[in-house]
Amino acid sequence: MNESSPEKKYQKKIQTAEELMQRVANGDRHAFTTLVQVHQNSILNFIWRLMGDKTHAEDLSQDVFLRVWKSAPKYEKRAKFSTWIYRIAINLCLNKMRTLKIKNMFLTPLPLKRHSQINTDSTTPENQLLKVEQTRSIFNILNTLPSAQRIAVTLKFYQGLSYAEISQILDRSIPAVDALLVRAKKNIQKKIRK
Amino acid sequence: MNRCRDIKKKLSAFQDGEVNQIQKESIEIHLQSCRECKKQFAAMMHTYQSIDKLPQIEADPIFAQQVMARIDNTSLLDHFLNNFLRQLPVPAAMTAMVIIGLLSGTLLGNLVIQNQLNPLELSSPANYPDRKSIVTSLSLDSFNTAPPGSIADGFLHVILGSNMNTRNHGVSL
Repeated sequence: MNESSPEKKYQKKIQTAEELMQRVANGDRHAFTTLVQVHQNSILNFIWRLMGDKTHAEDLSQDVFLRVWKSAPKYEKRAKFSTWIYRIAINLCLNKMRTLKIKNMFLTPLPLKRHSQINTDSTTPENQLLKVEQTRSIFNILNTLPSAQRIAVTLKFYQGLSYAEISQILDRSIPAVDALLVRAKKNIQKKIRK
Repeated sequence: MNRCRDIKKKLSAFQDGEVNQIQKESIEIHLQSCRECKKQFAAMMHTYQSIDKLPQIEADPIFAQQVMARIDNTSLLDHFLNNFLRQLPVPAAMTAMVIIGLLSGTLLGNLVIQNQLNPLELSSPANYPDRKSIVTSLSLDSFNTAPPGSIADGFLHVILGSNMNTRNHGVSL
């Protein structure tokens, strides 16, 4: 395996995140800014795919990094930074989902208008509209999944994590993660057939 | 048939690239010959295709600065709250003592002079004094330093009552 292989790069990135966290734990603001800049898009997209709303995703992403800063002294060097930050993000998302669920019991839910504000590379208005519709239909499918299945699908399919990494984040066994994904895929199939 | 069942159990992991090389080759060979498993795998592939093409969104260029600003605000708030909570017990205890003192004093006063406070609540209508004498009595009370019904009056009653009791005891002894 040569020095520039993806695995080596990945390892290097993890080490860098851990080193940065050590500095963040000592109150190093510069290290924290670097950490935010490296992970902001990954966390933002992860939360957006879970929540299906860009405004919530932006607010929650900030909350995640705020929690990282506050909890930095408690961060254990042995833990993978990505596992740790995904756990924080998931907890905050689940809390938000619960709050929104309670709110929606009393308020009429708004349509998914924020999808139309997503920047698309398409030049023509028709293509932009198509992209918006595609996004809407994907979120319609994902919204039907129970939260655990949706998290597993997002981590696997969109974030590209392995079963082992997902099992660490969700604190479940690898066969349990496999079963979760099998059920999620079956539910998606049912939704597509309708 | 058993072979198909085993393969189907591993199809999801196979799709996600989570099987070892031997399993992978075995499943690939099986899919070439088994129409049923091939169909199921195609349906599984279709699930991922249906949720593909979700665009990437970009964080705000000043995202990191926004986070830092929130940290600064939160730190200031935390600092204020910590200081406030640290200094809170003394004034809170003093306020609580004053409130308890006022309440217990009022309660004590009301208990001691309850009958005097309500001159109209007499046992029988025959004992009712006329309205004029009640008004005169109450008007004169306003010149009294310890009018009936006041905390001072209650206090005097308690003190004088206990002195009277002591004196009585002294006499009897």
